[in-house]
Amino acid sequence: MESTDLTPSPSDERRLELLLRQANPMIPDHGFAQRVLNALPPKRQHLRQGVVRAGLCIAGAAIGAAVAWQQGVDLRDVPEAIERFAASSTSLQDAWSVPAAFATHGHWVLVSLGVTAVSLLFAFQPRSWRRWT
Amino acid sequence: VTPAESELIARVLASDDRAAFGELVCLHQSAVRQFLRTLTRGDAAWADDLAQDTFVQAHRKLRQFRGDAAFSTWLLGIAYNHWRNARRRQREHTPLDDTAPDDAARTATQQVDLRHDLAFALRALSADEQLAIHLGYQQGKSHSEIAALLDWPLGTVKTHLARGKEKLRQRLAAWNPQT
Repeated sequence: MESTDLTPSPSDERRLELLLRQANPMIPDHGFAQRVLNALPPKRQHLRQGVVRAGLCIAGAAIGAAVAWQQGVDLRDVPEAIERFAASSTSLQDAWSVPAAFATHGHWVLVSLGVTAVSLLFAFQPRSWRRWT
Repeated sequence: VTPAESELIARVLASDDRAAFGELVCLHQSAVRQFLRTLTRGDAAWADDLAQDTFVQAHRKLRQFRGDAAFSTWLLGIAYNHWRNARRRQREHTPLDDTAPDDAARTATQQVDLRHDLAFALRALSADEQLAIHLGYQQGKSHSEIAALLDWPLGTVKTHLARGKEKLRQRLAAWNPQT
């Protein structure tokens, strides 16, 4: 049987504090955790969505490159075309006409490279960019 | 944050592991529900609704948990914010009762043991004193943790704890049938 004598003294101070610490009975779960789990939103699919998005971008880039190659574009000319494109500081129209080494389809390679770069950036964007996209 | 908690949190963050989150809920549900029952002055149903919302929000914001404080303190902070918002919205639904217990209840309580007397005395404290005592002694939080959690100055925490304890001591002494 517990004594109920609680006159103020250092030992009683400790007894009161001990009593307060012990006066916190555990609340049994009784299905509470399951209730919380049921209330959670559907499971996120970030990882799967990211893989699918990256796969689509890479497949698109591969198909674009294959079509360009099939059209007779020599992909070894791509670096030269990029250099010329980057060196052009006059206007977009000038830049567009610069890659003469590409014959007729060269500029499409540049466009597809740009689109691919943007697509890959979108697919693998850092988490901090997500709120902007 | 304990190693077990860290592992569970990592699993939730890595793959939204619901079983791991369920374990976190099991570990902390009692503390969060106790805390909310203290805030709601014993309204268990309302406290459990708020506790559920607390864990759902904790799941959503888990990535923001930096581990600066104990995980339980972080959860109690979310619970406290939920309670404040809910009280603001539903003030008329659950009015706070700061009055002392009535004589009939007092008489009944005198018949039982010290622990019941203590529970009764705790209910007679002001809301802030009860909250400080609950967090300081029943949840084992430090003064600085309580101050951060409730956004109170450290001195206010100490004052509420001291006043609360003094009132408890007086009430328990007065109710002692042997004195």
